[in-house]
Amino acid sequence: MMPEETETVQQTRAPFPWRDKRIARNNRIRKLKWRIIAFLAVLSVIVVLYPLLDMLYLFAYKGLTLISLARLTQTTTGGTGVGNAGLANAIAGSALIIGMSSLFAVPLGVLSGIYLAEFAGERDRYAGMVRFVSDVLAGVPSIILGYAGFFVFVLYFGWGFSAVAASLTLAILMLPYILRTTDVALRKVPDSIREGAYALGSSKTDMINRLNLRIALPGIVTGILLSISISVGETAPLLYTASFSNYLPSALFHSPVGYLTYVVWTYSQLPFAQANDLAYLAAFLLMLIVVLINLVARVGMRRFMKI
Amino acid sequence: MVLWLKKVELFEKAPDSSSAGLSKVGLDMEGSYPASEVLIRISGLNAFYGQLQVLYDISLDIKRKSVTVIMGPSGCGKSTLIRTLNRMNDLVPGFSHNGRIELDGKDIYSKDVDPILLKIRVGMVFQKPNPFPISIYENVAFGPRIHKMFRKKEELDRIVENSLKRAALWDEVKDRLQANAMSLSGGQQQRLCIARALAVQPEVILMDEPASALDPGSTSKIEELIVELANECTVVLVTHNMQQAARVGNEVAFLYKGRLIEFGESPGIFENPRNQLTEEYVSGRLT
Ligand SMILES: Nc1ncnc2c1ncn2[C@@H]1O[C@H](COP(=O)(O)OP(=O)(O)O)[C@@H](O)[C@H]1O
Ligand SMILES: [Mg+2]
Repeated sequence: MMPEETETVQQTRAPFPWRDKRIARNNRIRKLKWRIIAFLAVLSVIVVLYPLLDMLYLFAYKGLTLISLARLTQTTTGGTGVGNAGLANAIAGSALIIGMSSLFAVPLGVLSGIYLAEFAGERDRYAGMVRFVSDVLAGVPSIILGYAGFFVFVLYFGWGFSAVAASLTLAILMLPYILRTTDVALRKVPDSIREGAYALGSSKTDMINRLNLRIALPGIVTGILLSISISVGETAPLLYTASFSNYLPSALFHSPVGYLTYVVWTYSQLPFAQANDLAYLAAFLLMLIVVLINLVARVGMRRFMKI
Repeated sequence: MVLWLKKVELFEKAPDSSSAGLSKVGLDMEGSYPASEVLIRISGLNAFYGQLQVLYDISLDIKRKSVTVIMGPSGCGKSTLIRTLNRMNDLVPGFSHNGRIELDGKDIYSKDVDPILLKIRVGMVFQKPNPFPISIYENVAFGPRIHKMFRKKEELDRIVENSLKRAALWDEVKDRLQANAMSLSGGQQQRLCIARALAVQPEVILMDEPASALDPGSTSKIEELIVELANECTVVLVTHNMQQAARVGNEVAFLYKGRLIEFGESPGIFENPRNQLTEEYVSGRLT
């Protein structure tokens, strides 16, 4: 049986030597293509990575040489650069604005994401509209959102330049990311798993609470962290809504707030070394925060996935 | 993070299904009905997906503590039939049926039956293993948790252990209960799904081709398990594999194009089929 079979195989191959040649040639071409692609891939990694690493190095070097207790505990004193002591007001303001905007955006975004993924039907007009608006919102330049925030929160609601106006504006900026990642992460939970839960007598709410949210959690958290690191780096919407202040934040309404990106943007352009130093330090701190958020996301997710 | 999760839980607190006793929804028939040999009685069942009729006038009695096999070629309606027994088809858009399905003499589609509580009595295992991508322990604990079937953690531990033992999986996983269920092999995953179904102590277990995605070794393990399970509960097994039907079935129903062609005790239906179609199917000439 077996020898016979090998023989037939050889018999069919013998009359077609050109076929083997073609296969070999094709294989050579395939390998060549692969080499070219690999080369291009490595090249593009270097092109992207080199400036990034260069920048990281510059800011890390500057930041680490400039960092001091004084620069972290004293406040800025104004645009002239004379006596610019530290970033305390900007650090506290950034933390306050980011914290408050997360407080608004995270519950709202996650709950709407849950609604879209789990409760809206396939042809739910309202859900379609929410998805559309949220996608559009994600694409709107942040300076326009800032302008809108200025009109609505600062002027119309009369809150003035304030932490609340700034936080709500940033929250609107964060919302689409959180909402969409929650939506997508939940919709990825396969039907077979949903069926398994229903077959155990699970209600829809039990299934969502105990299973789907748990499975989707890495995706949801990634979306939240992404939206936070985006809003950490925003300047434009805050210019319109928080203005800037050289003092530590003291009230939520009618009280301008300082923040790090303003220092980077403004103080790097001033002709005073002291001001330039603060801009470098602020940039370093922003970068540190973004890197930390990403590290936490990665390590946290890895530990979570193991369970 | 934790904060909003708690919020969601408060916001989405399920209408508590488990607090009402089974008797309140008309499912606790213990004692109120003479315990007959028949646990599930299907009579005159027709089933439709939209306009398409897939089951025609099925009448069938399923006996307590036995293995009833539903066999037939692919597409003949086996899954549809088994899924009407625990009302899984309620979720399928366009599905409708008429006829009667009784569990212990009680119509399971009557208004006072809660489909959630029905599923505690009638569990299900699917064709493709569908473990939840969480820990092995939490998979088995899922049912007891949602139905609040325990008071102390130790009780839950015991439920999990017993269920895994009954599913013949305990020895293989007892040292890694916290590992993700997806790290198990296909056969182990399917036994985990069986353990998960057993954890809520169902009287009936529906199995829809539970071994058709598994290798021969895992298949025979599952078959042994089915025979074992029938000592304590009632098993309804769907298969298109005749040898399997012969090996584990006490009674066998042959379904063809949505009709029940023949129903009889296990060796008999294979050795002396009364119907021409059954004979052809059993001898492998009908596919
Ligand atoms: N959700 C559905 N919608 C429409 N038709 C379906 C659906 N599920 C099954 N069917 C049809 O019903 C018939 C029986 O299917 P099924 O019960 O799955 O058969 P089996 O399990 O014996 O292979 C098939 O013709 C199938 O195409
Ligand atoms: Mg099927």
